Amino acid sequence: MKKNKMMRIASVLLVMTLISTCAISGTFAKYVTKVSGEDSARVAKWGVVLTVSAGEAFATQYETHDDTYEGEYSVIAFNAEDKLVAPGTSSKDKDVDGDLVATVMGTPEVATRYTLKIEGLKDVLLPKKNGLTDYTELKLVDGEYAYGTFDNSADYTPVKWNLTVSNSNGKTVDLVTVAKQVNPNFNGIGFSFTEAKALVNNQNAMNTLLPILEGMASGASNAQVVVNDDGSIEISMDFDPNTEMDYTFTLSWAWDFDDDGAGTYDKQDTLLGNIAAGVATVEGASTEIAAKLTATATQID
Amino acid sequence: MSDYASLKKTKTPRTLSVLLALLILLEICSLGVLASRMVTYSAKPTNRTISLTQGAGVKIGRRNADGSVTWDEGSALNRGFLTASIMPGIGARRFAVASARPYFKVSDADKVWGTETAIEIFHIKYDETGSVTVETCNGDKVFAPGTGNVYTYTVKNDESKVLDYTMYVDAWYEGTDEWIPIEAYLKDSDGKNLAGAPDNYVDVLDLNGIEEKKSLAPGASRVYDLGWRWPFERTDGDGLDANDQYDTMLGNLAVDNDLKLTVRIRFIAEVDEDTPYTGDNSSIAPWAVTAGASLVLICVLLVLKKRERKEEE
Repeated sequence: MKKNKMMRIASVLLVMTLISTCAISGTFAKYVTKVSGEDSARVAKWGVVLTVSAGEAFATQYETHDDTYEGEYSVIAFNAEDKLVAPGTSSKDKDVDGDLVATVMGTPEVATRYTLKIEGLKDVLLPKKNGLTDYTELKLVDGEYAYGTFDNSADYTPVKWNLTVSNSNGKTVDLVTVAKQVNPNFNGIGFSFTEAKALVNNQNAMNTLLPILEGMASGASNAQVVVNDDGSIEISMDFDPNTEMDYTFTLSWAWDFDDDGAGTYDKQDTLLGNIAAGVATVEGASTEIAAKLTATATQID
Repeated sequence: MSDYASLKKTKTPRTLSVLLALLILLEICSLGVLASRMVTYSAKPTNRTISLTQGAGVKIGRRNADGSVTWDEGSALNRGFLTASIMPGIGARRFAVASARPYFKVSDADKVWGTETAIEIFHIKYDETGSVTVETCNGDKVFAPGTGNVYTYTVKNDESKVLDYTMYVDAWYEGTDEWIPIEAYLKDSDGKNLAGAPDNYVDVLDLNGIEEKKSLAPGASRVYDLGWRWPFERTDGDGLDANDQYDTMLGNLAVDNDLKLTVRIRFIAEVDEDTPYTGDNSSIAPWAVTAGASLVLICVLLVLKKRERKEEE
């Protein structure tokens, strides 16, 4: 019986071995065709960093430039709250961080349009008018002292702005320099917003400025400066993908004390001061000044 | 050996012992042959490659020191290949690559797919408007708002028999848990929309898990369109401004992280063949003889055993 059992087990094992051999052979011989295609991509980098200075373009007080004056400040708001401008003040004054600065940095992998909008523009203005009161001198007329008059031969906008564009490579351009290239006789320190708009519409000036702007970064193109219907000035530039955007726009201002030797405007300045004080009125005059920067970077489709 | 000794001890007829020895010998031979064949499937790299294709040979080449490959153009074996893939890590030595079987072909406008084909669903730059608006900084393929593509690929049956195949689609994100607003659709030339439709894009992850079983008649082909896009201006959901902010957030995240999308399309094809071709050209006759001999011996053994039992009774 033991012998039979052994023989049976051996037989079963043998048959199983043969069957499994066939089965395994079949498995290895199975023909399977597989193909696959695969692709991956990642989100394109953006990383554009915009800044616009939340700085105080104007101050409530300005330090004196006259060493003979014993006081520290030559201009102080009566209520210590209102921000002021006056002859001799500027954004560069000590303790006045008055430059409006906008920067754009980044190297996005998408084409990008950068736009800097200068809006809400208000100029200090004494309009062109004859017979305006000259508060600088009292004259004796017919036995009485009275102020004389003067003719303001053109709109007077004493606060002048200049826009400087620079990058970290040391390249820089500003509107005054461009204006001097276009008109060698120009000797101003800047432009009122009204004058700036005229400059923007000067084709020669733009033909000078825009290539310089584009040349400040490899991959920058389509630089434009336009005056919008709402009176805002808009600067825009396009950047190719992977262009290093490195621009700083600085808007500075100054009310020159004696117009830098180009002639004095004491009568106009004094009249504006009296208008601000409420002791004089001139139709069309403005004693407020304002500007706002808005920067936008937008992907170009 | 113990069985044999046992048989001898019990004075088993000599013929039975001889037959049993023959059986053992046959079994040893069978196992030896099986083991030799299984070496091919071991994990250890080998230069030998079994051709999977009937009538197609083996392409001979030499990998150069710089990683490039020089094919032996003079070799008759190197004619008529469709594709070849090269395993990385093979040193400067001769090697052989089996070509894909021509009866089942998946291709796009640029290439015929192999086992792991890099296809062009996404691009490294996009210039649909004539000027480049999106371009990678490092060679990676990228996508951004406003980009998209329709990738077209074709399945073709060059066999003389009906071919069955299954297409699997996988899609997944890596590197982020944030939702990325990529939309997609997948349709075939029969008009069947497998996900979304050209006029109704759906989330790209809806492609994941698609399993499509299809048949192709001899000589027939089927075209698939895989379209995707990242809408430039999305007004759905929280509105345009919120969507712009979200897209911008993703772009900023991408500065330091790879927010990656992968789409993989796999095909497994089978043809109704009587005998799958394995590349083993050895004759089946010896195996048939061996199997037959074994069967006869088993029968003889059983009969002899039965007789012996009767005699004992």
